[in-house]
Amino acid sequence: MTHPDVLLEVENLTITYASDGGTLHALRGAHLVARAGEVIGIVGESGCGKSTLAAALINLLASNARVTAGAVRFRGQDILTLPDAAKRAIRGRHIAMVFQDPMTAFNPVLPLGDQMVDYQHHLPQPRREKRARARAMLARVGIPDPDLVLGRFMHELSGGMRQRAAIAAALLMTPEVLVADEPTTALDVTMEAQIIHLLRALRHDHQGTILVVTHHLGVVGELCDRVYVMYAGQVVEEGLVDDIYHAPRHPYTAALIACDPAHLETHTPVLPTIPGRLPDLTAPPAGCAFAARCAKVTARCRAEAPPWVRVSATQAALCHEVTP
Amino acid sequence: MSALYQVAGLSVDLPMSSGILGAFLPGPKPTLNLLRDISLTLNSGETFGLVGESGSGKTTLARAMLGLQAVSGGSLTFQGQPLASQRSFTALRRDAAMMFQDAVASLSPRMTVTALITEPFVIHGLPLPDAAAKAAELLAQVGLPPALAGRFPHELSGGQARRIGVARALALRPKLVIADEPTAGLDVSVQGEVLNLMTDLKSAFGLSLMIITHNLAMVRHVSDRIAILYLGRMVETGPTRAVFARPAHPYTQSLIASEPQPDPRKRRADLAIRGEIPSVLRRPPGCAFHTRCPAAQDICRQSAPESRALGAGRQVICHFPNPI
Repeated sequence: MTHPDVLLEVENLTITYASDGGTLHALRGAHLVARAGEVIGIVGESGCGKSTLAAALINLLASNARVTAGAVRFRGQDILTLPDAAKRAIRGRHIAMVFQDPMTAFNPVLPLGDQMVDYQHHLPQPRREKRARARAMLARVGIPDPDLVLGRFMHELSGGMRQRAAIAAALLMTPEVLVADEPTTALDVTMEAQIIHLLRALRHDHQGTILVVTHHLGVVGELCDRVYVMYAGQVVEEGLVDDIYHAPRHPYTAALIACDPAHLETHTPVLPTIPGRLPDLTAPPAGCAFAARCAKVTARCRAEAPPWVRVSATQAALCHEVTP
Repeated sequence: MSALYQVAGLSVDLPMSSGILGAFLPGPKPTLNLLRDISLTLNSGETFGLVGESGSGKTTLARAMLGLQAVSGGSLTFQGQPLASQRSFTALRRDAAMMFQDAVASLSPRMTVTALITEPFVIHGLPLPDAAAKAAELLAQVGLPPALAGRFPHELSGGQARRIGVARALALRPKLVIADEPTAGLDVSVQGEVLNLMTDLKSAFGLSLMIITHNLAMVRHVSDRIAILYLGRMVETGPTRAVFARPAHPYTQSLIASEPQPDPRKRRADLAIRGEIPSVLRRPPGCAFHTRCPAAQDICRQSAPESRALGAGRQVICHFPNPI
């Protein structure tokens, strides 16, 4: 059933967290498909479940998370149900992650070079060769003086350098799937542009797929081929980046794009917002999760869960009001 | 419009540690030049945007303007009165309030919301007959439910903490509010809410606002005038719309061109700016921007350009500004 170039497939993924306030339904039947050579954006605001989805992709879910349904398949195999040793064999080597904050992702008391050698523990080569590989990868991501940087500690590097080093570390094992969690959030706009440029250049020699998790529509517009928009633990729309931006079908996608000040061409003193709040995910609504904030809401939206409506070969939305 | 706050020729230097030998060596002690020759005027009722990358001196300028950072040269004037003594700054901080950068961290974790938003009265020894009533009034003004009054900061969301910051800043009915990164870390829809709230309160109370940010897309819509800082120099200033329409300084131009575009049809082919902002410890000679400037010539490497007026309220520090 799985298409040969499908690398990663998330099916009906449902994850809950046990918390003091009850069971939090963080992901409610999320799904996505990533093929080799694609750059995919996972977009949404705080609390939409994108970080839980990213953690599930790399099999690093928190200890209070429970997968109640669904699967994450890498090359057809469900990675969530594997024994721990098999999970470790995949993590880092086949599916790697660039974490949000490169400062805390690295060990502060070891030089970068030592850490980058350790990341290659799967390989049989001697340390000297691993160090040379690390050096070559640092040079590849545009770090000047890679020999010098190998001996540096993280606090000695600038924010942009750290982010480049984090990308180099994730790519060391040439993983098929690279998950980048908010790769530019900690950076200034000029560094952000440079990291986007770097990721674009890397996609050409990276044979696999890159998944970019972000709340920043600008990053998606500049970088991605396809997008999954998330809201309240669900994928509410998927499509090509051009369709999502120019012809969004889900009202939440449309509202999200309208809110981005970068989208407004003319001077607008009163910025658009999305009135209302996210639903409480300890008691998710029976109907559409966006109903309370939606301009097109009907009685049916409040009562019934919306269907997944396919509008074209590449675009689909989770909405009662969308027609094919 | 009348001038509310004037900054003229402001410089901020920090003494640098020169080791134990330095204490005995003759000659001037080494200093770190954080801000040099900053001149700007905030008018009553206007919103002024202060833009720059990390390390450009934005926060230092705001702190110096409120007397929270010792200055080494220049003069500050509020409503025609010179600010020189600690006493004058204490009085100023009744009329000019600051919203600090990290909204949650700037709220004391052991105080309730009521105590936090009425604390300015306590600090300035002003009468506060009914703290609960005042707190309720302030909460209503910033659009928060009265039920929040007894909460502690860790029980607030990012957007709510930001609104508490606004309430605290407005408690004493100031004439000027300086907001340091008021939208950093907020989702786009919440960003709009916080900014709209600030704009509404600004017109309701006749406030002046100074917004410190690196978010160009946002500041372009909410500010009347902007200033761009680079390594402690104010490289360009002018009316926001004119500056965005035709940036005079190559740095301003590259900043605007670096902003990621959400529209995939406007995807950028090439980088507008390369390299990183140099450290203030190693400030380039001549024009500080020459190391990254696409238009740099010999004179830029040798001599620092002077500030020049371009007309229409615009000023630039550049040897070869773009025609406006």
